[in-house]
Amino acid sequence: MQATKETKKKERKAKAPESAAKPTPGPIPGETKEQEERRLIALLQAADTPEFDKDVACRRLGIIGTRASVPALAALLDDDHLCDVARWALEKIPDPSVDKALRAALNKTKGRNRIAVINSIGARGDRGAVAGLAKSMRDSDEGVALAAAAALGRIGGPEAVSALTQAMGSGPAAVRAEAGDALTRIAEGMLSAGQNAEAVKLFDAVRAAKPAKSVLLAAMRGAILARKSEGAALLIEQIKGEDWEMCDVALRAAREVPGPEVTKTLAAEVAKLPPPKQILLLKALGDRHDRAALPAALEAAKSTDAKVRAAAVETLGQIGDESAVPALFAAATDSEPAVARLALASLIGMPDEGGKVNPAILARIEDKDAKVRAAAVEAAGKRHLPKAAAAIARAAEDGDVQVRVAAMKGLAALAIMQKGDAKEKEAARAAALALAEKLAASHAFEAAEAKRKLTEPLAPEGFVKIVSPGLSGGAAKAKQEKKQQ
Amino acid sequence: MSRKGIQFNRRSFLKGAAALAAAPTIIPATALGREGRAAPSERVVMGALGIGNRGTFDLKRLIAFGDVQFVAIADVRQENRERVKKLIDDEYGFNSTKPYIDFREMLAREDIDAVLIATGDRWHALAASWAMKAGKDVYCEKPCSMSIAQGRFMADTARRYNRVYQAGTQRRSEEPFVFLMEMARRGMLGQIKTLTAHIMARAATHQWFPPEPEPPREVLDWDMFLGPTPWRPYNKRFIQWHWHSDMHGGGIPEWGSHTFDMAQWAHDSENSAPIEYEYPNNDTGDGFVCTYADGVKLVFKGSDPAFPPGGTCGIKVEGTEGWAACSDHYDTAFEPKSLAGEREKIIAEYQARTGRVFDHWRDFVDCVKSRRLAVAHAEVAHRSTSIAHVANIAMELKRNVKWDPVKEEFPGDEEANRLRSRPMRAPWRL
Repeated sequence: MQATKETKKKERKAKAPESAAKPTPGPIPGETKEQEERRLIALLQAADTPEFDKDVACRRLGIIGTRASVPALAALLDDDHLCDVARWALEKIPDPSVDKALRAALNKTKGRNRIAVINSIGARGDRGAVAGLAKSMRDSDEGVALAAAAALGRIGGPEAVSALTQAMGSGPAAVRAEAGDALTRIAEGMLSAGQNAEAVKLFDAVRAAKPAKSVLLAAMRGAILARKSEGAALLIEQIKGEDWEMCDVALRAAREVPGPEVTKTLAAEVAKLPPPKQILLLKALGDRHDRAALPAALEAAKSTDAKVRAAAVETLGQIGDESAVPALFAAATDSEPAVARLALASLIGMPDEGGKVNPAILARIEDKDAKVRAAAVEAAGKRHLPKAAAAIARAAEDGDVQVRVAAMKGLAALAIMQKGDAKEKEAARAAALALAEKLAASHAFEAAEAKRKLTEPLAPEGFVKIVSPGLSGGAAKAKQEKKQQ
Repeated sequence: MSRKGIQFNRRSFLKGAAALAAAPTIIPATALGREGRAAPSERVVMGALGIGNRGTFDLKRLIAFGDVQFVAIADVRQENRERVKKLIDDEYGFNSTKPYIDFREMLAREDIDAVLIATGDRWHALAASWAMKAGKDVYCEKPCSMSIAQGRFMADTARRYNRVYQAGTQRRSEEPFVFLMEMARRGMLGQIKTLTAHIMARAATHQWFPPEPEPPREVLDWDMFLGPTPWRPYNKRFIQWHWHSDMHGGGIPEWGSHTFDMAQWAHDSENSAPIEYEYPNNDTGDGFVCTYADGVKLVFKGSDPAFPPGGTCGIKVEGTEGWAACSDHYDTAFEPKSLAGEREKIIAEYQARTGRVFDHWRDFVDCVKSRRLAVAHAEVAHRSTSIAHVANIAMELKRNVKWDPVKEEFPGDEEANRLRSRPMRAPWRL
């Protein structure tokens, strides 16, 4: 919300126009693109053209320029101010004369301009420049060497791989790291192109070369993903290992490598890990949304570690089916309030794709354990299960206060639901109305309002407002009863 | 709230972690240590990069978490460095925040886990990529890039280096917007026909100002201020960088970063984009129409009080059976009204399915710890921002364009393809 105020402020400021200090060599009406290009070339070549106009001309030639523009643009490659707009325009022109001009400039320019030229060669993917770039990786100017390594990573191909592999093995640390980065970039390109075997080979070569840690991590990620399901073993090795950064890599890859077999392999490891890693792996398994992990999550829900139980019930909410319902009800009675709260959230929110979760919840609505009854009536109401209306209404008179409060919450949710069979909805509203009437003694006005509102079609907001005081009353009563206990 | 007197040591952080232990989404202290350091997972050590007004807002949200510790500020402007250092030092009660002019020096610190990036837009993609390459997780203000090429590079870098990236599109973590998105995605509004997204109807322009003497580097490092922006002579008027087209994408990405992101979410096309873009014959982008492959329209609308339900930076989804809209300062508006009855259930299911919290900054910190993708991760941020870039290219060319979201190119349209990248000043590169 803060952003809006700031944006408005910016907008107000921006509305005060600031005049341009220079005119622009803009398009002339009726001019063809060929005519425009010729005019802009002449403008670039004129000695008295202001720098700003040349800047604008380069940008326009980047869009419409052809082979004809190359000499005029290339002449600016050693211009400290205009080199970058000129080379951007050159990058866009699909003609070999550009590559020739850039390669020539590679040997003539220095410092920042030389780096600029190298960046453009990389952007064009000019394989003819690989030898020159390989030499540049050994330049005494580290900025030049780094740019050359990066450019080779964009160009790719066997010659670039060879040069980069060599550079990764010796020379300044920064250049070695950049060469490693470039190689992982090439390997990723192979992976994207479906050349997994080649990618595995290159990722493994990078790993074996003991590169900078950041590069090693990137190569490990690639090595796992490129192996597809066969990468599970490498993945688990990292999760089990002592290196937490490698574990991070594996936890992300655990969400990306597809296939139920991978899920099963990962799930089988959960119980073998120390609790902190169990939590992390359970979360990753939840994000895979694959029920093959269900047995592991159910087992973890019985952990002696409360945080593991909490992670397990969250995961069950993501991937659970009816077989998870008993475990979630057990967790709803957990002595750790956070676990119980999460279990209820999972019971309310978990999907019912097979049509068996809802019956499993309804079956617990009259459980002998009050905590389970409370969770069941609240979940049934909030899941909008109209079949539960009568049972929830009965629960409103339960001997246990937490069940009564849960029943009110459940009925409130039922009364305002819109989906489902008309008769069921009506029954749910009637049950809610009956409850509202029972509140009449202490909330006469609100009850009358409830009756009025509930007889109107589709009045959800009204009901919420009306029942809320009742709920507050219930909560207050519960507090009082607790005190008395 | 000041935390004066808190000691930066393991003990105090463990205490902080214990307080958070009640929230089971927090990973326990021993779970996420970094190599060579003693179980520091109780907190995420952060650096701040380019902190003006919006960045200060973000920083205050993050620093409020007991498990986040800011240790450094990098900013090319002395006044920002000093102001933010004071803010952080005051929060902790110690003169401990290290200021940097060049963010690369800050990123070289091994003790920093993550960075908050709230620089000018021109730096977003590059600074984020640089940081991720250095092994840092990133919370970055929107827009995530200044060009399609920059966005692709940033998203690829995040993936390659296994980093958590959260774009500052915080509406993804706000319940009213989530309610709208879920209604749309579940078909509760019927078949979606039109998505209307607010933009700021104003174009950025390219201009230089008369040269002025550059201030000392300590006061303002003009070279780093420009960063990847093509050279121009110094003039203090550039300090307000908005609406200068090399530094700011204009009104379309300004709000479109948020509203197109929501449109993509509502339409369930977060890894794709519209394929046709109709130039509206004006200079502001108001009324721009994009069409998805399934025929759904995404219409850009300038700020308009008549746009239901009013407000700013809003989104409206219209389907065959209803509509829903949401914008800043307003709760979700929708028809039929009866959908209100489904709200709590929808939100409960969303949270159970995704495990997301309704706090964008908290989602980032949680993801730094759990290594899951943040809710506004790099790829979705790049995809929604790409819509703004593609539209801006149509605006520059003053004509309709077609876009292939799989190949990320304009089919058979060389002029438009040339504009997928912007000129960038060396040594900065993709």
